[in-house]
Amino acid sequence: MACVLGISAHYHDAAAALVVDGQVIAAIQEERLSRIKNDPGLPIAAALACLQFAGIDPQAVDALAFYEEPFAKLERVLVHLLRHLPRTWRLFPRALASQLGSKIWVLDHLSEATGIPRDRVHTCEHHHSHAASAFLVSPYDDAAVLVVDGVGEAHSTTLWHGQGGALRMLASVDFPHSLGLLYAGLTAWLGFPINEGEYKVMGLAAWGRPNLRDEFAKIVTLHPDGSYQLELGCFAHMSDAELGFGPGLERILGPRRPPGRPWNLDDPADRRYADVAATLQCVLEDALLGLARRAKALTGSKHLCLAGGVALNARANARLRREAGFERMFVQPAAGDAGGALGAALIVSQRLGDPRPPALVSAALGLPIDAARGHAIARELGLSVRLLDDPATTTARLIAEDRIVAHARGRFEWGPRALGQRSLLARPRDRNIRERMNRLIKQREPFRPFAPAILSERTAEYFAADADDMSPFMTTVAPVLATKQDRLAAVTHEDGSARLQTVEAARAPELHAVLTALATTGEDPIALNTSLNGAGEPIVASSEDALAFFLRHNIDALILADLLIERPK
Amino acid sequence: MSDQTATLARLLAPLAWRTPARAARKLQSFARAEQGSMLDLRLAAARTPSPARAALYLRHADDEARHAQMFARRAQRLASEARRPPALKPLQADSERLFESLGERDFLAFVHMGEDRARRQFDAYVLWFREHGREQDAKLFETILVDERRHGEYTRTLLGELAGDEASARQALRRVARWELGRRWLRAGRFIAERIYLVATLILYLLAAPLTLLIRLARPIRRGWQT
Repeated sequence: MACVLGISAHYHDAAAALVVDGQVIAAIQEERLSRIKNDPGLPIAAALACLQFAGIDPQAVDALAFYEEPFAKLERVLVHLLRHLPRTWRLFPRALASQLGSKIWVLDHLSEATGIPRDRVHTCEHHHSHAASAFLVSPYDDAAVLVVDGVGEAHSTTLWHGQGGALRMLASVDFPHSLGLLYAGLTAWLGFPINEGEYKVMGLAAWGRPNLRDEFAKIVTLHPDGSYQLELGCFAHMSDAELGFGPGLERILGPRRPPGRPWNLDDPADRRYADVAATLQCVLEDALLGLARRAKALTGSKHLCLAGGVALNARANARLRREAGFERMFVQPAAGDAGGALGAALIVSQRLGDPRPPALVSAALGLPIDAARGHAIARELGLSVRLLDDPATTTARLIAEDRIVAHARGRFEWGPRALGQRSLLARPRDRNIRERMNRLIKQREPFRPFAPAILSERTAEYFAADADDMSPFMTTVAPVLATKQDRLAAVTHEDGSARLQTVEAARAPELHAVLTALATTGEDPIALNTSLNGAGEPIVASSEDALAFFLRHNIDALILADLLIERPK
Repeated sequence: MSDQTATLARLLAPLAWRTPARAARKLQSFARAEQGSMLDLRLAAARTPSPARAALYLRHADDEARHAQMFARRAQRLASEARRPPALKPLQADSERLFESLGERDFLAFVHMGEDRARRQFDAYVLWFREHGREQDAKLFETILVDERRHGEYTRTLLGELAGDEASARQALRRVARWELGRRWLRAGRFIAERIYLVATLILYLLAAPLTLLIRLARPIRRGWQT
């Protein structure tokens, strides 16, 4: 029986996860505590918070598991820097400084900062960590596992077969060919920041037509065996990590969209950019379909698990679910690099003889709200605070009155999605609520959708789909029934789909109670559910963060555990 | 030190604000500084044992977030007016976690000194903008100055309360001033070291050039499935 702390760090979205006796106890992204979006730094605050939550002293930790092999990564970086000489002359000093200055010493740094002895620090391979993060907490005993991201040590795509507690790698596609970096390059070309704007590209895709297939055939080749190959002249990830795309891409698709320019989808130029996003989405889905079919052929499994940053593409996941030939499919809520911390912890936990954990039921793996502290600070701030007997009923009443409610109850979520513990909730009926939400809080591009959360058992009344293994974690989309699109105008995307969350009491009890209360009053059992954060900020974690959010944004009410903080009407 | 700040601001103002592109970059750097300060204050609110001080830090952080937005918006506007619009760095700041490294008393002393310095610098800019008929920019800084003065006052009062007496408060201010000097020295050292490192790695790069052929032969790019 062992206590294992998993860590992912140094690229983007650093995180820590704690596994004790094979059970996932806590998992926290560093950004939630440092308040720096996608914080890549060593997740010491997250690691110590996990231990403190579990009441475990660092000395009692049996192993610290890091999610990749630092020296294998160094080798890949050096080989590529030298292979692409002289194009890499600008990247060389930066890459070397980053590798030699901090990344190869990461295991020592982690040991020093956490107080866990160095001889208890282990490493796992990057894609193995991803695969474990999905398969080992999935509800399947046997599954094909597909990992697709930018790059790990050397691989950018891997196929695995998971059986019982074991994972066996079957095949890989190696860097510099990478679907993650294809998406990143096009994200940069569309004027969005890499590692941050990918969701925006996915949202934009619904507004365009996939009519640039011929152009994309010059950018990426999809082979009949499921593998793929990038036209490397279109990309710059071998020689410039920040730019993302090369001159070849502009020769094929035209000049990049200037970053920061406001979007106007009535403008033909922006329409064409939307067409590029739509074609990219189709090409990505085709590529993933090829990979999934290959995985099916190699494993013969009925189930598919997906991990890596690309697995957060909910539209692609829905298409895989429909067309790849698997009966069931699972995507872990923190499928990106943060999830590597969980995977590494699970791998080492198994190495130390612990059993595989039960299937992940809830993403609420963070820290709880300190209501007493929140109450004391809110009073000092002169806010109107009321203690509630039944927060769910009050929240439902506010939503039914068309008010926007910040809902911070329970432990915060693991992964990029707010699943009811740190959410902004609103009535999904009126399209104007989207504009209000954007104007007051999110300041998002107009093409980005908002998501619905629905009582699981009532899903089929509103969507052309049932709850599945992905929908509780908001990692898939479903078509909204044509007859319900008017009732769900605020959460129906341009293409008639919605990135739904199906809610069960066991997975998100607080949100389930709110939706049940809504249904009891004759409302639809659905709420618009978007993350509780301001533009460019990480999702709220603590009561202080929630109060800071309330001060900064003109929302109607904040539910903080069992407290109601209301703004005068 | 504080008078030096104002003098330096007056002397450098013509350079800093000469063209819309330069002004945009300068304002964006102020926006990032305010954003960084906001992060530090929010972390302080989470760490302080006193709910009353947490509330004050949260209000202060809220002001800093608003200032960051005001600076960033003006920077965007000026950038769009520039003949060659500059690429402004995104409004993403880092936190130095000063509350944890300095402790609450010295953190307050640091914040107070920063606010005081900003006030003198901004006062000098307002004068310069007025003299040059740039009313909009003068108004921007004047609006922010109202908050900066309030921040300077409350942090000084709070520092006095936390320190227990005036002598201890002054001691904290002197200690932080010394710490800031040391930090500047280290930053200067790092600046020089980075340049030396850059030259050294470029030399290393040239020396490694012959390996390129070898690597291309021995480790070619792999395509398709690897098993």
